[in-house]
Amino acid sequence: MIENVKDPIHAGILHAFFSIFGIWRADQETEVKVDSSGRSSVLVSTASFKRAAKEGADETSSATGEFNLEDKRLIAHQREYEHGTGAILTIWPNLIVLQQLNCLAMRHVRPDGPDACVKTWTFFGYESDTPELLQKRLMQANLLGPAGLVTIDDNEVLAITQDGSQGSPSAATVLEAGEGTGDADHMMTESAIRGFYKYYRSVMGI
Amino acid sequence: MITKSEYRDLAADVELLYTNYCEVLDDGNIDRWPNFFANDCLYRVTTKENQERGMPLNFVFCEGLPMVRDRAAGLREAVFHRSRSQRRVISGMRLKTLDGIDIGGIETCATFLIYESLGDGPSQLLSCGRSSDVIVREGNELKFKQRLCVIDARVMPDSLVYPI
Repeated sequence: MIENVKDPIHAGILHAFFSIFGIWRADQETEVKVDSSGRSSVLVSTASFKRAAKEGADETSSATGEFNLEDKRLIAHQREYEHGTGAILTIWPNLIVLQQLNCLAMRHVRPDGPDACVKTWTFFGYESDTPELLQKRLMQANLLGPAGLVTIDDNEVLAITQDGSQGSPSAATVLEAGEGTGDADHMMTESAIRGFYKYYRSVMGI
Repeated sequence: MITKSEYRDLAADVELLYTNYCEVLDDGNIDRWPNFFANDCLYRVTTKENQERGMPLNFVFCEGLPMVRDRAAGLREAVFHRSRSQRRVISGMRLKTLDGIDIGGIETCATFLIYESLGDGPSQLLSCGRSSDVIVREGNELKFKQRLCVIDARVMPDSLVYPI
């Protein structure tokens, strides 16, 4: 669960909702920044809001039977920050502060025994928010949390992974999807995870 | 002045709405879920904690029927989740108001429980709480003009994939 938001590769593969609507996808303007020790990192993306290109499919039409939104308010976005429409800042070891379109939230992961964790979501806005902006934040919260159209994906995949690893407690599986622990101007990297464990090992004396 | 038998007639119709609603969702027919809502509906799932603190945040927030349909289509087309069985129990339904089923709607309150069975695990209580709904009659059918589900717990034991 800690690695989840340090792994930008999975987002474009797993989160169909993001991919379909061009909110967070590897073919967009993206960036990964890792601090020099590796402990904290930020993933930044700029939404194109272009539907995923599909061979032979009309990008804007739902005539092909592809999922489309009847009410676009669900993802209606008001640009707030110059640098990206989505940013996931992970603060060592277990807190993330995220901006996803107009949703601002913190997700705190607390271990609950060796096989479980509790995630505490805290959504926030500013006193100076206009009613329209507040409404956008509340609407887009549909994408996050325990019933989120995007975050359910993570809960479910990680539950399956957890079940799998519990069956073989002493076995190790390594799938290398990159190298290094530094910054990248793309999402096809796992440097933030590697950086995390580099720092983790030094703190834990492993 | 409404009589006891008039209350019973109306309550029986409303009970049937809830029974059908639960049956459709328990059978996994998410595509039919929007059929239970009026055009200008409001569907919200939140927690008691958020409510008591006056926080407007929801787990699920659908304003209008198109948004309910989007949620249903999204769950089917865009959300990855494990296969699960659910059983909804709605109990202690009470009509809070009795006038206006054909105009602004009548108010109800009830207790809900959802049990979930998933993988090799035993059935577990996914969620329980209280609903405050507004029900209107459209043609011959009763529909939710508002469905507000307030979950008691501060922690969910698993994802809340399907609607309450």
